[in-house]
Amino acid sequence: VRSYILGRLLVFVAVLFGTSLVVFWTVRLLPGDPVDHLVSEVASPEFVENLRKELDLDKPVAVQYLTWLGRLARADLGLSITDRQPVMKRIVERFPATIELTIASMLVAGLIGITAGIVSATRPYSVFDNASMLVALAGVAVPVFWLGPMLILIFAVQLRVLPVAGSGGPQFLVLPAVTVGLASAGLIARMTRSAMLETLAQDYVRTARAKGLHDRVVVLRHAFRNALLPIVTILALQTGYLMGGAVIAEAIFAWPGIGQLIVESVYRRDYPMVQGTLLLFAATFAAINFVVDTTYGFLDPRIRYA
Amino acid sequence: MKRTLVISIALAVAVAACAQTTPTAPGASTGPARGGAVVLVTGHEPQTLDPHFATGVYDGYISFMLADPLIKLKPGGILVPGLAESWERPDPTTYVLRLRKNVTFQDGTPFNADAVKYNFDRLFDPATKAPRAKADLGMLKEVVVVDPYTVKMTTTFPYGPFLATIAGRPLAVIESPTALRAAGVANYGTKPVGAGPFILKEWVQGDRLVLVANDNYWAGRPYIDSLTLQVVKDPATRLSMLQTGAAQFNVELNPADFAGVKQSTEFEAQAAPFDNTLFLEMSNVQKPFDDPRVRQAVCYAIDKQAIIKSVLLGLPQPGSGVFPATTWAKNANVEKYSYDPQKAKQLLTEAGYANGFTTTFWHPSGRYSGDSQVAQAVQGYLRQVGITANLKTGDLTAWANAMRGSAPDKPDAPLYMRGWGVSGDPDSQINVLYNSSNWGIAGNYARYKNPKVDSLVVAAQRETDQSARAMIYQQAEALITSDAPLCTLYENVRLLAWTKKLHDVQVGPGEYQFFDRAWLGR
Repeated sequence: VRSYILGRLLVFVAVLFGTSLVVFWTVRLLPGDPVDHLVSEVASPEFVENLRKELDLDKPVAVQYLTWLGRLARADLGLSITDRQPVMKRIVERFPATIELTIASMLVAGLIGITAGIVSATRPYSVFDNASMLVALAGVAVPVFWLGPMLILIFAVQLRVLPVAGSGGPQFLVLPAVTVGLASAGLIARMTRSAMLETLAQDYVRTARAKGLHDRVVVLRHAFRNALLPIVTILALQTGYLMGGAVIAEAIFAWPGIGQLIVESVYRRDYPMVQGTLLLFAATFAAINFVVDTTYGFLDPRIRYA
Repeated sequence: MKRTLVISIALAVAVAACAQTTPTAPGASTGPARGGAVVLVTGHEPQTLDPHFATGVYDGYISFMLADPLIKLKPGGILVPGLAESWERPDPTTYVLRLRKNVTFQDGTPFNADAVKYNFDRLFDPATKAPRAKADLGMLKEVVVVDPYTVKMTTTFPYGPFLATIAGRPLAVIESPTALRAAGVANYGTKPVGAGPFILKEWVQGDRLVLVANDNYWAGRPYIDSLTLQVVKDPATRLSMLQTGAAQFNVELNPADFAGVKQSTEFEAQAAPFDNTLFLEMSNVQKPFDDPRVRQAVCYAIDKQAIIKSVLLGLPQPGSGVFPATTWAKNANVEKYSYDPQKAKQLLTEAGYANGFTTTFWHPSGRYSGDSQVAQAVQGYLRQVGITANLKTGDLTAWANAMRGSAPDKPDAPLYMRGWGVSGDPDSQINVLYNSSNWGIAGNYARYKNPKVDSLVVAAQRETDQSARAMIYQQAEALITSDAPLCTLYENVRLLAWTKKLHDVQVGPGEYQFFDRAWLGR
């Protein structure tokens, strides 16, 4: 097991290194550079040149990359070009809000998805099953940037039961979390349903029922636990998707997370900030996959890591 | 099928939302009342609140709420006393300003001549590295403390627009010297202390900026208790917040929503010009635009009225010449280049381009309201007179780079869309854009050179009498207009919307709004 984890860890580091390369070079492929945004449209050429020198932008890109990588190894993401604040500080300020939204939408996705999936599986081809699977399909098909404004129109503008946008209390989290979570809920519902249908047809489930166990115990303890593996996988894989959705939802709901920071930074060509935030996203996603890979063994003891 | 159903439900919901106009009793005019919180929604926030580093619109927008300049600029270019009570100009390069007594900064530091001097010294200190110090106030030679409430400011040459410059430029507001010293250049941007109507209470970057009324404001405490600038990227969300009362003022209304908001009984909508125009510029040093006839042909080829009507929903006014129509220096009689494709073709034939030519047209996307669509319309009109303009869409940086060119003598884009405004004094437009001393990167991207214009611009800087200056500018504007380094399309507008409960917001000058006399009715 230890060598397996070690291997996965190496892959994790390799992924991060690869990401750092891609992120670093792609932001520099964009035309223009950060200095254009720092100075007004009219600034003396000497001033611009000095500033470029000060920010090390006059050095060859390879040298800039190695400098950045060297700092990165010491967990130093550098200074934002826009406001001269440490990138790490800005990320620490903004990331919790994104995590909060991601977790909330995951709860929405998991709760709705798993419940609908289980109920559908226990009554296959019933009216409820067909209806919930139709809604699930719609949920997957509807984009966040459409669903968000629609929910605002209905629940905030028309019914006035929830705030339009902003932050400040749990009521502000409801609409963005539902917006982001609903798409994943659809996918999870469908996955749960098929996984449950498969396990419910197994011999041991029939045995459990024959023993006279209560239906709920059979479904939840015997069948659901064994159907959990694909569900956990899909939940974990959805985390990346949810974080991506959160980035869009943040703009719609004025949620003060990291997504808006990324978009602004790209526009401003704030290289250190773009590099830092994207690397963080990649690291989070890689870390979740790493955790999932290693927890399979605990969820299903039959899986051995040779 | 299902998709159709979903869409039609959505449409029904959207229509219902639009149709709903809950009529409210017209607000009884009770006069200004104290109290209330105003939330202002925008898509952007300031970069820094250190006025010496202000470059973007929202930097100055907030700095002017927190700190006062020595002289205030009102819409229409009118100068009124600010922290200076009165001023005189004993000779063409000297200004003597008498300062207001009994004013304290928000941290209790007394305001006096030393404070004024400290601010300008910091601005010009090479260690500060203020990006616009030289461009905006390079003519300022020194600030001398005459007595505790009198300062003398001298300029290196007689500069007519001096007072308008220190009034209109955010970098000339006066901050507390104690606070400036304590925070240092690196940190002052998030903890500014001025002597203005509002005090910065909290700034959560990327989210909101909360200002509260300054109880000790020298011109009287603002009526409202607080003003919150909330960053909301999505235009539809900004509108929803206004409609639900979560916001009272929307600084960036979507053009498509304008008519609907204007019709409602609850909200006011205004297409506010901000002394800024949108125009096409041509590189005067590149073929075929080095021939003035070709440039004039481009101007005649475009139907501005039609573009305004069809693309911009009729909101802006057509523009002409160089200056915005709202500027006192405007020459109302310059050639308007009304739509005349025949004349355009004739001019092209005279210039030797009877069969037209192919060129590249750079434009930004999202920098100005409807910019891409306007560019496409322009492309269509040019095609009708035989000019094939290949569109190049750039984000802010790419487009700015193309306009500017890589060096003064290395122009890039032959034809491009650009916007510019007068901030404070007309000099800030005509001198930067068409004086050949600002050749290339410094602002004259069109590489336009007319010695007569150059000397007129300098003469206008040296003249101090406003009506004499206006005459000089009118001559210069007429010359530039007939040389046509630019074709002005229309006067840019900022679409504002606010609840009718909010009264007496001062709109302008420029892109600024002022809330120090604003009040909320019931």
